Amino acid sequence: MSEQTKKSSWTRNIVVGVLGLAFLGWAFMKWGYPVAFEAYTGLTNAPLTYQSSKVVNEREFTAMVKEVTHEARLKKALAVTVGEKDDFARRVKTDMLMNTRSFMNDNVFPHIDIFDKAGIRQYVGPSTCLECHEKMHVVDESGARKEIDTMEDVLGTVHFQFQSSKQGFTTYGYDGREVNGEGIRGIPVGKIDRACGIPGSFSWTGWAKLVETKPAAKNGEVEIRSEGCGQCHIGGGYHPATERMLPIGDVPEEIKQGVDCLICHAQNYDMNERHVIKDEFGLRWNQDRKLKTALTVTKPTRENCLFCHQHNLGGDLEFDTTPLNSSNKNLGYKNRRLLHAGAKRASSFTPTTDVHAKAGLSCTDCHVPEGHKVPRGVKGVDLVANDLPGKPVECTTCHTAAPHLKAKDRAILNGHVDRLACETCHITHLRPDNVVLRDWAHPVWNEEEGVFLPYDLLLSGKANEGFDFLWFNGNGTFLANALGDNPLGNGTYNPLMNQLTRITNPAALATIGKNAEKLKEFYPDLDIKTYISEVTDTLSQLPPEMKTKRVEMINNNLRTIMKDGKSKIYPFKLFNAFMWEDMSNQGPFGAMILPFDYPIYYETGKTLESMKKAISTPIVKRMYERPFKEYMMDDFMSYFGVDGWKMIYPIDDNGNARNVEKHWMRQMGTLMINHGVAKEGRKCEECHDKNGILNFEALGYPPERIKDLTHLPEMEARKASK
Amino acid sequence: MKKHPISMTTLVLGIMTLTGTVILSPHQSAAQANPVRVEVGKEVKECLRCHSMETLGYQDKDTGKLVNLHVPLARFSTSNHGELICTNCHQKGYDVHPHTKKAKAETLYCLDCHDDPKNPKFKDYRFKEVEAEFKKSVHYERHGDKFTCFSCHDPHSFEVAKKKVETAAIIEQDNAMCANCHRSPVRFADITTKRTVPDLEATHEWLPNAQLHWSKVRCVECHTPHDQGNFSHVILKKEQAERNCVVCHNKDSILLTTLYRHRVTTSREKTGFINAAILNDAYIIGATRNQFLDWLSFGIMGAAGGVVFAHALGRWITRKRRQK
Amino acid sequence: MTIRIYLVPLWLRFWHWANAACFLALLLTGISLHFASIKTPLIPFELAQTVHNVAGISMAVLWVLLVLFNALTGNWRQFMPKFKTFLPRLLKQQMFYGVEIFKGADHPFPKTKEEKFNPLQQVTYLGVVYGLLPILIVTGLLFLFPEYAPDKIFGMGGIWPIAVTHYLIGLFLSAFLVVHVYMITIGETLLSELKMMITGWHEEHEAKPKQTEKDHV
Repeated sequence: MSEQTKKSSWTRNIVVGVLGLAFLGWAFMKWGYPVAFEAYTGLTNAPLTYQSSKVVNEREFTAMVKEVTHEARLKKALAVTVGEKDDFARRVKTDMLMNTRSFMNDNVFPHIDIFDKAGIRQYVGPSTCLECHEKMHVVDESGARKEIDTMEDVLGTVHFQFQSSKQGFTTYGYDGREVNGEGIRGIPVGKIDRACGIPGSFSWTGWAKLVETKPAAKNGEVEIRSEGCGQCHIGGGYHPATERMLPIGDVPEEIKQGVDCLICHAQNYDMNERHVIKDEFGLRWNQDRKLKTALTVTKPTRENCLFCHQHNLGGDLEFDTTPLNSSNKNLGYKNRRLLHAGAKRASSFTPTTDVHAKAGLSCTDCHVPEGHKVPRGVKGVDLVANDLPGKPVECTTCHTAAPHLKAKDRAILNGHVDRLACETCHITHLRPDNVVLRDWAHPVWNEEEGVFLPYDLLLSGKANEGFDFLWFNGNGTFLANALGDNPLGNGTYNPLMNQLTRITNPAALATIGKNAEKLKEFYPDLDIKTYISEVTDTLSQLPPEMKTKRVEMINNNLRTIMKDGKSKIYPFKLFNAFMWEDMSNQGPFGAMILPFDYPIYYETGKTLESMKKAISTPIVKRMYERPFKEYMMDDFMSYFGVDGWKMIYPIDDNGNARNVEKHWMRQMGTLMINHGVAKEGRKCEECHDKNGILNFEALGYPPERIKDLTHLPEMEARKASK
Repeated sequence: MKKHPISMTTLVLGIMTLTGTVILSPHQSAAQANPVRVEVGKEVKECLRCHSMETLGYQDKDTGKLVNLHVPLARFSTSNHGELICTNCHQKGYDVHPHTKKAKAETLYCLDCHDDPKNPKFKDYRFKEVEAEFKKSVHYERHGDKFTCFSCHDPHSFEVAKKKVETAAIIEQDNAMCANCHRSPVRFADITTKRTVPDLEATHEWLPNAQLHWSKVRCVECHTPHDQGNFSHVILKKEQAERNCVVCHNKDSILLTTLYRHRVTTSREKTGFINAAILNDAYIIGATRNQFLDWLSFGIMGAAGGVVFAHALGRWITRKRRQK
Repeated sequence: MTIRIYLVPLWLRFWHWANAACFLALLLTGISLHFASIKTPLIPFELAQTVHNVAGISMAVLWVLLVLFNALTGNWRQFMPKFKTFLPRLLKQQMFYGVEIFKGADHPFPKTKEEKFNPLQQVTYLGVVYGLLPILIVTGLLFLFPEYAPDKIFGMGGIWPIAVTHYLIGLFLSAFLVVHVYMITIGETLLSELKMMITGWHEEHEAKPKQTEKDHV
């Protein structure tokens, strides 16, 4: 073979080789990856179909339109006939007007016309929306307008992914590193794997479950109820978009078609469609895909957000101030969803309870989105991922730094803005069912619902009981403890060794004592003294060397972060939970919290069994193996304050639990409270009093300053004049 | 010592009771009608209890503008007024808290205190002359009484140049006064009500190294007349501003009478440097020269010229001999 | 017989005259800036400042080009004195300029292609081109970009030791200029050296031998 042909055959070989590899790679990702994924994680994907997605004929369509526009037409007609004194005449005339062509065509929902003209007679899913909305325009921070792919935009949001491995968390690990900070290899963190004292910490273990309940009203008959983290996911799959958590791969097309556009965009979304369904591939959540619902699409309103976010604001049991179509009043046509007692933040956002809701503001007025990306704000305590990390959501954006306009003391009140957050004075209480202490390890049978429920040792919406005040500079720890420091302080402010590890409030202690006694009725072997001391002095759960290490870590790793930035006093909802923990992975700030399997927990109350079932899900098993250890668990535990992840699986070969113990978290979790804003704030004497709600000493004020603050000459004079 | 009929104790107690009655009684009797007031103002720290709050202030109901009531303590204590207490100037209605209605009606004017030219403390400052000069300035001409001393001088933090050791500090303070309006679209539009703030980079394009000039000399160096002593308040119209470089860039630089006037008295000719005083702060082409070096330059050039001339002369004289 | 040697290539001539123009401009404007005064009629300050900056930067660029071309063409060797016999030769050259020239003696070290410069020229040009000029240029550039000057030099404010250096070297180079312009005239004729710097060719005309009666046969 001549030189020339030798060269050309080499070139040919290389080109063929490269193309071949590329093809193999593509083929693997298309066909091999899904199989490998399912085998490795034990999670399924399958085409998603929804019964509510039906084709309608013309007659049905017209009827639908009439129904959907009824309220608006009625309102308009009534406004016109307001002069008619005779009731009957008015009714007839109103009816006539409502059915006239001009009234029928004046559509409050623009998509009625659009669907009609386009001949759309079925809402299939995202593909229906994407027929027109495949691309959309957003205006970003710098004011530039750009075109984006709608589906990709949605799939990239925290609402879909439930995690992020990018920079933008306002959280610091107990090792002093910013979570996914600059220069640090980011790991996927977020609601999907947030370490917290709740069973849903690892969303896979309780994504979509059916629970057999035995409510008292049904006299022994079983009622099947729905439960699971997936109820608030905008996707419809069998698991929480796990592919997006792994280094390679994406959710398959069929799962992308499971995105529920309507739950955010449809004004008339029917929450009764949101229940668990069982098909041949597994359990997943149903959606409302009726064309009737799709006709009512608009930009998201407050009601849309509250379908899901009501749970963590006012709570599931807020019936008095929520609208008729709210999620807690529409539990499902079948397999009704279980409601959760004990509200998470218990800060209500309804017109009766919040001044902004009353003013008709919607969530997106403050949480201004870019495309589908919604900002949380630049301050945060918990590990929830943020679509737009740099975008502020602050009172001062609208209210400026001089927000008080009318009061005689307005200048001084504005002066307080430098030191206190607006929320400190303007959110005066939480709902009384605010859960502060929840014991998951001692469930108690609930007759009404017919399930075992965790025992709430303390519920309170009052200051110093259900929530307390801490310095906050916008950052939190890995386990949601507010970080900050007193700018005038003497260095004594140390909440992680003081107020977050002790309960000293007399009213709270009294309630705890009472409730512990009640619990003993169900658990006679309960050692009340130890039980109470462990929750009111959480550090007593630590062995001495851990305690010393804790002090060291706070001083070496967290002090600088606490002093960073500008600190103000904010109100924080307090929370602690009694859970099973994997003690092979423990540190001075806690040990790895283990999840519960919902059906076993609710049905039998056997917590250990429930825990063992939950951690037997394949993906949790994978967590205890080397690939996950290297990929993220070591980093995760470092943030947790533990030296490296030990792959000692908490169940041994005989099926017994290994090295697990029940514990309260070693410090109270603190959650920001930002909703339920009142027009009138607190009065001066609520804080400027030696028995005020602010514990100045715990907040690190020096004694002379405390004296000044609690004995203001003006307060003394007012008291004297009375 | 003869025992006085009224003992010391009685005297003290008597005074206390009297004061107490005087202070408390009108308030007690008017408790229903008026808010309860406490006495403040005997010491600066009493006022600073509130006025040290950084965000102390309110939005004015009539103008909608933010009124900032914060007094930065650090700058106040080093300022020219640092030894005064608040109520020396803020008298009516401010000696009690909450402040009375009289407080809002207060009108302060520098010359209320600084009007006596015979007072040895104020003599150097020539307040009356400054007032007269100011009335000739373009600011007064254009805006009249809307433009007051306080438009430029913050009485809580003003430090006169003589007190400052570093020239850079003087330049910073004085230029900040100009920049406060002339670099702020909001404030400029506020006061002028018509015009937008001109782009300073554009208006100073003719000036080489404008940024360097702004950091090394004050605006007033060029924007006030030179022949009127050290701190003329006659801010000129922009058309009248100095554009002749040589006014500063020469041996008799006017900067010696303005920015560096406090240095002129320090030793000058010790190292032979003209204007050596300035050399610690700046190098100014044409102004900072060394006499000896200048003599040297004349000497060397002269020598070179001389040698060349002598050599040429020699060659010319011997030209015939060389041609042989 | 005429000896013609091509001594000054085009690039070198270009550099020489461009540099000369820049230097003259810098000298005149430098004087106007330093001795600025309202009374004396020198070049106006702003004009002087602009011209000085432009010419200064041009001179910096030209210098870099010279060094580059010197290296590439090997011309740099002309500047290197032969150290072994250097001092006696320098002395000889000095004696020529100081004494012998008045007696009508010939140049002791005439130009050749390998040695364009006599010892005095060599050492002077070496000092000027590779010693003083770069310092002058660097100090000048530091004036233009004072932020790169060190804050303090030997405890004194950074900018004015630079100023004094710039001034003194400018002074010496100006003196050099005066002498250099005069020395041009010390060639075969008053203008022969100038001609060489324009055409590039060095010409030496040997004296015609005297015509004797013997030759006329």
